[in-house]
Amino acid sequence: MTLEEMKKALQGTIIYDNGEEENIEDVVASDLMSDVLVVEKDDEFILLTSLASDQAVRTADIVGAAGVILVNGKNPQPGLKKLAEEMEIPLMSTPRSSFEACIILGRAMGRCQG
Amino acid sequence: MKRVPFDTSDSPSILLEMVHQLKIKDVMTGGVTTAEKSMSLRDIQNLMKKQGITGVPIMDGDRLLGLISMNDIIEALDNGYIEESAGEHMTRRPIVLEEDMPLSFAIEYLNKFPYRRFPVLSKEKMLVGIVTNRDIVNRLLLEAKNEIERLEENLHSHSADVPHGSLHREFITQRFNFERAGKASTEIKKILKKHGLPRKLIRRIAVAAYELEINQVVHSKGGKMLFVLNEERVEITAADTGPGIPDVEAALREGFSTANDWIRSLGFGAGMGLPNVKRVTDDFSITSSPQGTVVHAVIEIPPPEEQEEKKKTKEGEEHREDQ
Repeated sequence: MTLEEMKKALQGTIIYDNGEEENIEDVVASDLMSDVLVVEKDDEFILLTSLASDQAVRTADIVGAAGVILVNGKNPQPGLKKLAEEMEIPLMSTPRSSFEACIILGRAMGRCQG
Repeated sequence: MKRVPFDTSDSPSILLEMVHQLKIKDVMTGGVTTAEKSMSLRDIQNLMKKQGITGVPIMDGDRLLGLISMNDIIEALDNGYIEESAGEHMTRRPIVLEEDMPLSFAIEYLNKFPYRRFPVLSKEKMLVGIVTNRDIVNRLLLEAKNEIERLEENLHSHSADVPHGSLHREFITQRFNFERAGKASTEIKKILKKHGLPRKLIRRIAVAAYELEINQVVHSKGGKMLFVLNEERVEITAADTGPGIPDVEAALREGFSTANDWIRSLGFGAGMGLPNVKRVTDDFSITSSPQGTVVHAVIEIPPPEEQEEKKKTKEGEEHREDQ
């Protein structure tokens, strides 16, 4: 699933796109960066969080996430946008809640049965 | 007048170097406005006002005769001789500096003599400029700024390659400085990427560095992160300046945390930091006292031909640990 497809599915707004067409196959949803840092994944994954601070983008960079989706319509501070650009980490905002966004992405990725 | 609080023989060596290497001609203002001795003090006062200066050398052709300062003008106004000529009231044979003297002379002169400006002469005894304490302050601040920037650069990233082809970097962390938190780890990750290490290995090293860095920002008074990379391994030494971990064993248990709600609101403080560093590293040691905590973490870099194989084994181990 590309970032563009995710944007459509989540009615999101892309704040920064690095222009790479990554096929994102997994989602890590957490507001606790400590939990994100223990994740071991081989597939390209995106970080879904309501934490709209610098550390969300930094953590995404450290664990090699393909991007960050901010849920609950969180708008990032200008500093966060700048950091995302610097680190070339795609950043998107969606009005959906974390639970809703997970269901939508899970279905689109064929991860939900029934 | 107050002394300049600077000893030109016994001060920090960088400052001494500055005041001895900089020459008077580097600091002085050239193209000085001068006046003839026949000019009235009133005209000199107007000249000062127009040019925004506080002292005018008085000349006889090419020869420096004296100096009229703002103080001389005030005296003249007070005592009613402002219409008289400069030649009658100037400070005769003023103390001069030579353009090739080191700046330290000017600082010494400011302490030795009751003047705030000194005319500057060339070797040929021609007037080439004037030095005021303001010139000295401006130039020294500029030099100090450049020098401190250079020192800070060295402090933040020791880029000197040491023998055996290993690479050293040192990073500073500050208590509760979340603006900077993660910068060291980002930098480390960049270096590893540049060295073309496998992605998974980079992730393990970056995670260890980031956890240690966040720990220093959140829990310590601040400290240093030392990063060493050579062909066989990466070593990260995180050393802070206190207050130490009262129960190290507990800190190594998953879920144990002393973080407050505020730290948790930033996405940290789940008590996973140190256990996670231990998990991703091949060698891990920690010592802690009220004077500070030192964590030493090592991640081995498998030789290129073994990288594929080793990666698989390591993942296997991790899966077992997870269960």
